[in-house]
Amino acid sequence: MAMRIPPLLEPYLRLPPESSLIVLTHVLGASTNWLVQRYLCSLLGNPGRGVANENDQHATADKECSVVLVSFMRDYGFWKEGAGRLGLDLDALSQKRRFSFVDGLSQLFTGASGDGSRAKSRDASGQRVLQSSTLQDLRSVVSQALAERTTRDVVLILDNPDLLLSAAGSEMTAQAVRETLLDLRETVSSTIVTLAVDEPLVSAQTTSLEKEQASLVLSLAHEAELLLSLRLLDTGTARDVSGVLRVTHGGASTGLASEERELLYFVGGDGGTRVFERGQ
Amino acid sequence: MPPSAQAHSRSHALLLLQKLLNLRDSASPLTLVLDTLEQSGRPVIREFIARAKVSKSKVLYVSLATLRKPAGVDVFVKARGKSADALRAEIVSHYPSGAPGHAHKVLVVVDTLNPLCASAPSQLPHLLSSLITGPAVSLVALYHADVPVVLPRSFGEYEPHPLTVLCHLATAILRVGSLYQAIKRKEARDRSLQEPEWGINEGREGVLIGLKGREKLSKEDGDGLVVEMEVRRRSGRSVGEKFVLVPGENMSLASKIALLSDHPKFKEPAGDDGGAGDEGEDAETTFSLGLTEKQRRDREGIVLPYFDAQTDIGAGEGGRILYEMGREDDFDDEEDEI
Repeated sequence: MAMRIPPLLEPYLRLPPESSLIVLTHVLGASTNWLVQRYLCSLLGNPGRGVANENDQHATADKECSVVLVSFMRDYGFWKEGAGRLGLDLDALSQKRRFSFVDGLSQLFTGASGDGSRAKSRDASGQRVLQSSTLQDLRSVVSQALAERTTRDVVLILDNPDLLLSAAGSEMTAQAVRETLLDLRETVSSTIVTLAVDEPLVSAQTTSLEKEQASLVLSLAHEAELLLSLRLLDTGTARDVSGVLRVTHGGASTGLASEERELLYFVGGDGGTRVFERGQ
Repeated sequence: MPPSAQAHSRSHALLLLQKLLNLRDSASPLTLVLDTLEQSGRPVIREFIARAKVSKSKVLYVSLATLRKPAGVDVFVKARGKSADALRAEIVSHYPSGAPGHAHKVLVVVDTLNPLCASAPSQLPHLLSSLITGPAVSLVALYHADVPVVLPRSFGEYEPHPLTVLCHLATAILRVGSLYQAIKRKEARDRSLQEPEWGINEGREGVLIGLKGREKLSKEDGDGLVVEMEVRRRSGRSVGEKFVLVPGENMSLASKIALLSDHPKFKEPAGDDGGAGDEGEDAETTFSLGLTEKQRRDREGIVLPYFDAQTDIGAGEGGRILYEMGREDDFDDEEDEI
């Protein structure tokens, strides 16, 4: 399983330090989905455990961590399939209470108003579903999911919470999203957030949507330990390179990443990913 | 400038920054630290806290974006979701009570002002000034200059931006920047090239923070940062200077502060160049173009005629024009022109 994780990325994919925030940014065409899957794989995959460790249940329970994934862009099927390709069975992990999924996509805008029979707080596979696009709902559903976890270290992964800014109406402010995130961060050991940083969303900063998005992205970057930014190649497209991964310290870095660097990555048709240095 | 005056202004500026960082004699009640993603202002905040610890001040940390109590902080105040009044009451309640004569010094650190600017832009100046209850209280606040503030709808169209108000209120402003980037900018400037940009201004979609580059700064620079200081005196005069701050490895190690102009990469090469230039001139001409000491003194003694003309001779008759006709001057009668 270790082979599934690109060796160059391993130092960044390990369990982040206590109460830290890791921000993954993406642009159109350079999605962070593969990176989130690698995070799942690295956090949930069994680290080559020996027989001695098997006997000592407590030691392994301490080392293990569980993950709560909140996705606003993809449903459970997508993540299950992606993780399955990496040899990770999310259903089994849910059974073991090491993984839970909060679906922020399928009923986000239909759940509350829809008829009671259709709207369910859990879908067919037993995963939680967000039924309204309010922060209170997000907070309570995620807290419930967090309460079920049994391990000491819980990593919260939020996939595109910035969707709320653009889709949940004008009452949703970056400030409120940030505060909700801080409240949630207090209850978990570390948090990983993916955000869109396409140029029109972050650089222009004229309309209130642009300002809100830029405000959220930049203030989270200021609070982050580590920033992994994906973007397309500066020189155009290539057959064997999908994009560039830039690793930089966030504003609140404590020195997890010793070096700031840029790597190239390639996501193949089968979901296999290669990460390599320039010129390799 | 003569070297002695230069040395004087240098030590004066350094002392001023030391005084500011040590919070001596209520040097600055409200210090604003402006940072960007390229260089976090946290090292400066840590420096303030470390020095406050040494001088046994009480350190209050008002957190709007921090989860854990940083090292060296006495009281950690969670400010998230609290109204301005509740926040003020909570902070002030932590001030040490004592006889006003020998009150303990208090350092109040606000980890970021941006959320307050967005949620209560009109109350912010009042909140900050009401926190400074006396000369023993110093407030140091961090503001992320690159994070846009989304102002509430109720905020008046003609009211100034909260940052503008903050900059007016602050008695000292420290703008931090990356030393690496400052060096690169200087190198570009010296070659009359366009100055490079980093991060969001880099012009690459998807980049938020610039790379520090492969080549590392020298050992003693470590992760140094450029601090641009602007201190407003009580008279209103402001003193500005740029420094290099190299934070210590941990809380106990002292950090190094030097003027940016003293940094090896920023030193004016004027001294060496000027010397070389003089030698070159001397070699090219057989004339002595310099002045002897006596010639220089004589030259300084001369009073030029237009200075003489400006001395008031009474009865409002200052400002004569002294003109003596020379032989070659042609006197034209004004009446000729009629």
